[in-house]
Amino acid sequence: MAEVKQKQIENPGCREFEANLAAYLEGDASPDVRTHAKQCPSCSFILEDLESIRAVAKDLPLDEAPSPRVWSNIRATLAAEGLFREQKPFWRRWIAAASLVPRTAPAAALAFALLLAVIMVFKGDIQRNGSRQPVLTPSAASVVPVGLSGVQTNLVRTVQDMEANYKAHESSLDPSAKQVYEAGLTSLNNSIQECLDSLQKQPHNMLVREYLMQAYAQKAEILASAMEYGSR
Amino acid sequence: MSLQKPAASAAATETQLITRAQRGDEEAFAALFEAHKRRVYSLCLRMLGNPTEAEDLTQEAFLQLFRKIATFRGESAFSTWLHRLAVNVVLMHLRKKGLNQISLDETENSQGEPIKRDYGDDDRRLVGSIDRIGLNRAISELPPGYRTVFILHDVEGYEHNEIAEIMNCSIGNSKSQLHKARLKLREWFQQHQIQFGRSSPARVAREPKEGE
Repeated sequence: MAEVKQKQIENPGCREFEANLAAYLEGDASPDVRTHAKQCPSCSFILEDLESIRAVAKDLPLDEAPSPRVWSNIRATLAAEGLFREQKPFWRRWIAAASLVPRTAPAAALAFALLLAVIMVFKGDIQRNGSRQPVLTPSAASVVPVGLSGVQTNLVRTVQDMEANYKAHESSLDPSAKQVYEAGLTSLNNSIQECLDSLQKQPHNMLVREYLMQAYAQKAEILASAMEYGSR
Repeated sequence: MSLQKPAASAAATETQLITRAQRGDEEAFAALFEAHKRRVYSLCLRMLGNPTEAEDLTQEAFLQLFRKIATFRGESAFSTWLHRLAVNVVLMHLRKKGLNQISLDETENSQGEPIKRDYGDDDRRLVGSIDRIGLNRAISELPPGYRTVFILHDVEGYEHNEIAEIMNCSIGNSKSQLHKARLKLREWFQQHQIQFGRSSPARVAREPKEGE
C-alpha cells in the first residue's frame, strides 16, 4: 500500500493536476485536469468533491431571520435621530406595524391595557343593546383559532363582540370616517387571515401567534376609536 | 415573458420605497428592512457564526444604510449597495476583534495547518454526503480568512476582483485562499465521515464509464 501511495505522489500527472486544479475550478481552460481525473480515481474524487462543494454553496438557503428586536432597535434609533420626517396618521402606523413587524413587548402590553379599558365600555354598550343581534361578517376575524390560551381566546371573542357592535352602529358614522375605519379593519382582517393560514401550516409558531394577537389588539383599538367617534 | 413582469414590478416597488424612505417615510424604512433582512442576517451569521453578533451587525448595516439613503442615486442595485455595506460592517468588526482576514503573503499559509492531500486509504469520495446542513457547519468551522473568501465567492457570488477590492488583497490571493478554503471544507467532510461512520468503503471502487 505504501508503494501505491508513493507511486501516486510521484506521479507527474497528479502533481500537474494539483497545480492546475484551482485555476480549472475557476473556469480557466485546462483540459488536462479533466483528462487526468478520468484516469486517476484519487484525483477524480477531489475534483468531484470540490465541484460538489461549490454547487451546494450556491444553493445555501436564506432560512434565517433576525429577531424582532433588531427592527425595534433600528426604528428607535432612526426615530431618535429624526430620520422619520414623514409619518402616517396614528392608525396607519399601527396597521403598518401589524403587517410588517411585531412591536416591542411594552407596546403590546400598552395595547392590551387599552383593550381592557375599552372592553369595559363595550360590555356595557352590548348589554344596553341586548335586543340587537350581533351581525358578524363571514370574515377571518370571526374564527377563533384553536390552541390559544384562555386569555387569548377571550381577547378574540371580545374583538368579535366589538365588531358586531360596530356593525350595528356603522350606519351612524360619517361616511368619510367610516371609509377610514373600514380600510383599517380590512387591512387587519387580511393580517389576521394570513396569520391563521400560517398557523394551520405551523400550529406551534409562536411568532405567528404573537402577530395574530397583536392584530386582534389593534383591531380592538380601531373598533374602540370608531365607537367613540360615533358616540360624539 | 411572464416571469419578467413580477421582477419589473418588484423593482418598481423597491424604487418607490427608496424614494419614500428618502423623504423620511417610516413605513418605507420598515418595508425595505423586511425585504432584505434575511439576506443581510444570513450573511452576517455565516461570516460570524454567532447569532447575537450577527443581529448586532445586521442592525448596524441597516442603520448605516438608512442614514445614507438620501445619497442613493441608483447607480448600482439597492441590494448590491446594502450587501456591500453589510460585508464592510462585518469585516470592520472582525478587524476590530483582531481576526486575521486573509494572508497577504501567498507564500505563507497563515490560516493554520497546511492542507494535506491524503493518498491511499484515507482518500474518500464525498459526493452525495456534501449537503447543505453539513456545509453550513463546515463553513462555521473554517478559519476566518478562508471563511470570508469562501462565503463571498461561492455563497454570495462575488467575483475575485470584487473580493480583492473589498479585502484589500490581490486577485491571485483571493483565488488561492478560495481554493484552500474548499480543500479545508472537503477535509472537514472527510473527518466527519470518519467520526460518524457514514462513509462508504474507504475507497469507492470506480466503475469505468462507457467510453472511458
